[in-house]
Amino acid sequence: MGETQAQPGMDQDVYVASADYSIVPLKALIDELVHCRLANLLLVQRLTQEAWNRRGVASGYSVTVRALAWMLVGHVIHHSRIVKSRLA
Amino acid sequence: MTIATELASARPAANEYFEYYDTYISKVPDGDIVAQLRDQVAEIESLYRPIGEDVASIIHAPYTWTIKQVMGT
Repeated sequence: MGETQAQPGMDQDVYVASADYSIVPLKALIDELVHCRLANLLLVQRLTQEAWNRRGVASGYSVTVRALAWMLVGHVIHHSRIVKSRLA
Repeated sequence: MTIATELASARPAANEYFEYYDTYISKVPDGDIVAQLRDQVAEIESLYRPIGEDVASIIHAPYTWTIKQVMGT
């Protein structure tokens, strides 16, 4: 909050290649995601009006706090649609 | 909604994010974004909890990651 340093991006393919998810129960991954989302909620619920309009740089691009929140929701929708199609 | 939440719930303008992320933002319905963040917890639970380990551990073509890899990353 109020961070002015540009935040680096991450290469998701490197993350996946370096992690062995075969040994991690799905339940644990779901628990982790839910806990992350609950932490996100605790943070956003205390944001002021001014904070929602703040901009920073992440992965080399300017982004507002508002847009980040919308990306969180949209990212879950995106992957949930794919998972539903995979399970159909 | 609080005033801050109303402000947060205005759809971000195109100059608020890199255009690539419109693939996510465009999927979000209009409305209270904080409520949507909250409501997704139940949606995540209902979609992912019933999935078996076997199904979550295979790659479904044309995708290249397993569901567990998607969840973990």
